[in-house]
Amino acid sequence: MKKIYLWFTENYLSIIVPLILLLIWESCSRFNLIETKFLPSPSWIIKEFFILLSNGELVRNLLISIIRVAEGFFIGVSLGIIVGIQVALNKNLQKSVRFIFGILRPIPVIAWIPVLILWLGIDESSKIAAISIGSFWSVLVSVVQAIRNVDKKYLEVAKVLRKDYKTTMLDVILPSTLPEIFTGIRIGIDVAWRSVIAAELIAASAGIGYMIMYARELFQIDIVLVGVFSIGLTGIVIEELVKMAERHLLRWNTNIYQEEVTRKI
Amino acid sequence: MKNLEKLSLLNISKSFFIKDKKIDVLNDVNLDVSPGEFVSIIGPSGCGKSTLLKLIIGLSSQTAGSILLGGHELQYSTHDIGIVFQEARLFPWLSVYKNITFGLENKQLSKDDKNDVQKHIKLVGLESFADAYPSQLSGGMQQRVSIARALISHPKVLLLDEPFGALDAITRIHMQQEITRIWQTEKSTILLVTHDIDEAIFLSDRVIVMSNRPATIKKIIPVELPRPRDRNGYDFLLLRKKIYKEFFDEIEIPFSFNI
Ligand SMILES: Nc1ncnc2c1ncn2[C@@H]1O[C@H](COP(=O)(O)OP(=O)(O)OP(=O)(O)O)[C@@H](O)[C@H]1O
Ligand SMILES: [Mg+2]
Repeated sequence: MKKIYLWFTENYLSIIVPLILLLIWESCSRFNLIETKFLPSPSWIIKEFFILLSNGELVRNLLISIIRVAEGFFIGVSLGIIVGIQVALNKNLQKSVRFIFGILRPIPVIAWIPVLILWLGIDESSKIAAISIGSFWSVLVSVVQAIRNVDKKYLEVAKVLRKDYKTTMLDVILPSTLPEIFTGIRIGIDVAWRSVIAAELIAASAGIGYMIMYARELFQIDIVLVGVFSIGLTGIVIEELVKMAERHLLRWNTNIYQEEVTRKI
Repeated sequence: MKNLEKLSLLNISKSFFIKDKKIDVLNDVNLDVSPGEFVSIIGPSGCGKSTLLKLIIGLSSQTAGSILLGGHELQYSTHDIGIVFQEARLFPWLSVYKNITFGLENKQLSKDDKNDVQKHIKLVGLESFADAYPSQLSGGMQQRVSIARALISHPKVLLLDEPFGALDAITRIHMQQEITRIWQTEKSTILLVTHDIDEAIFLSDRVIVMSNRPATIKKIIPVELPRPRDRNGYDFLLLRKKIYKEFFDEIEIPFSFNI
């Protein structure tokens, strides 16, 4: 109880301010200051949210999108780590791909979606490909960066203990790069989540993006808004899950540990 | 029993280049270390002691000369040599226990291995810290872990680069006694770099005094005192005085008066 109280005294602004804004919004709707046809009141949206939640529509579409993200993200991250390691360790490969990657990397995922639809059709594969492209780049960049920063002293320890290439790779280089790779993963999952929506808005027959698009065609603004906000909420949940995994895997990392300490104070 | 071999350094020279500027660090170092001998190296900071150990362990290669073990050029892959670096160099993502087992050749630990690890954890006095991460240890505790990591593979030749530098005086004396005991039971050849003249006399069969950069061996002082050694014994103090003189004769030039 005391803990909650302490937390509240510290963070009350982050709760109070949104509540006040919602209240203003709600009263504007009640007094007909805004056209509810275009922007329904918060209470209306929340009611719609619970309707969609109870008939399973929202959860079903969200799950479809989440599974897509998981699949595409898994492919993108795996490729990013594998290619990143090769590029970081092989000087010639590094030179060979410098311009190719330089041109490809800044292309936003949404620009690839028409190309992918033409290549792979409008079913699952084109969406999963779109998601993996986004997460691939962010992980690749952080892996290359991280390997370049591996402390030479660790490598010397592996060398004097006569460890082979595989052991050095898996037991020394990989764990020492993990904090930086995680940063890439966090950005990657963000990109992945954005791109699944983009992909679904263009071509899909299920998923949260599809739900939004379909409701728009029927001019159901409340459903559109429920969909839009649930994308944000899911984003927060995913981010927290990644942070939990990070804290668990990187227990040894003093930076994270210290973060916990200061939070308690 | 390990079959120990003679370690020979023949005409070792080493130069570094810092921005096209050649820096001679070692200049024609010659040294034979007998099998099972305990040799200490002392010399001014920056004279090339760590560099010499890095050449022996194969982290860097000499500009000239050769390093032989049992009459053969040292192979990079040899598991016969171990080193404790000047800094602990533990992996922050591994627990104390795992850092120590990283020193073993095989990842799969046999029952003997596990017993041996426990023995070494106890040896360095970290029984209650086996599951701690390095960031949760003090500097001296970290260094003790790195000593255990080097000892666990029972190398024939053990190189120690100021291993006790970070320890407090009491732990240091304790570790010196332990190293003596390990050396006597393990029968390995030990090459110890230190700044501590007492430590060198207490531990070694011979003390090698190196000169300023470019370093060469200035003097070899045999320590023929019976063990265990008394740090306050007369012969001990006499040796200490002798070694002090090696360092300060260059600086404390006696006054000479011209009339
Ligand atoms: N990689 C390197 N590149 C260039 N110069 C180096 C390198 N490593 C060492 N040196 C130089 O070699 C000299 C000897 O260094 P070394 O670390 O062997 O000294 P040391 O005798 O161990 O000193 P200390 O007692 O302070 O540890 C120093 O002058 C240093 O600048
Ligand atoms: Mg040194």
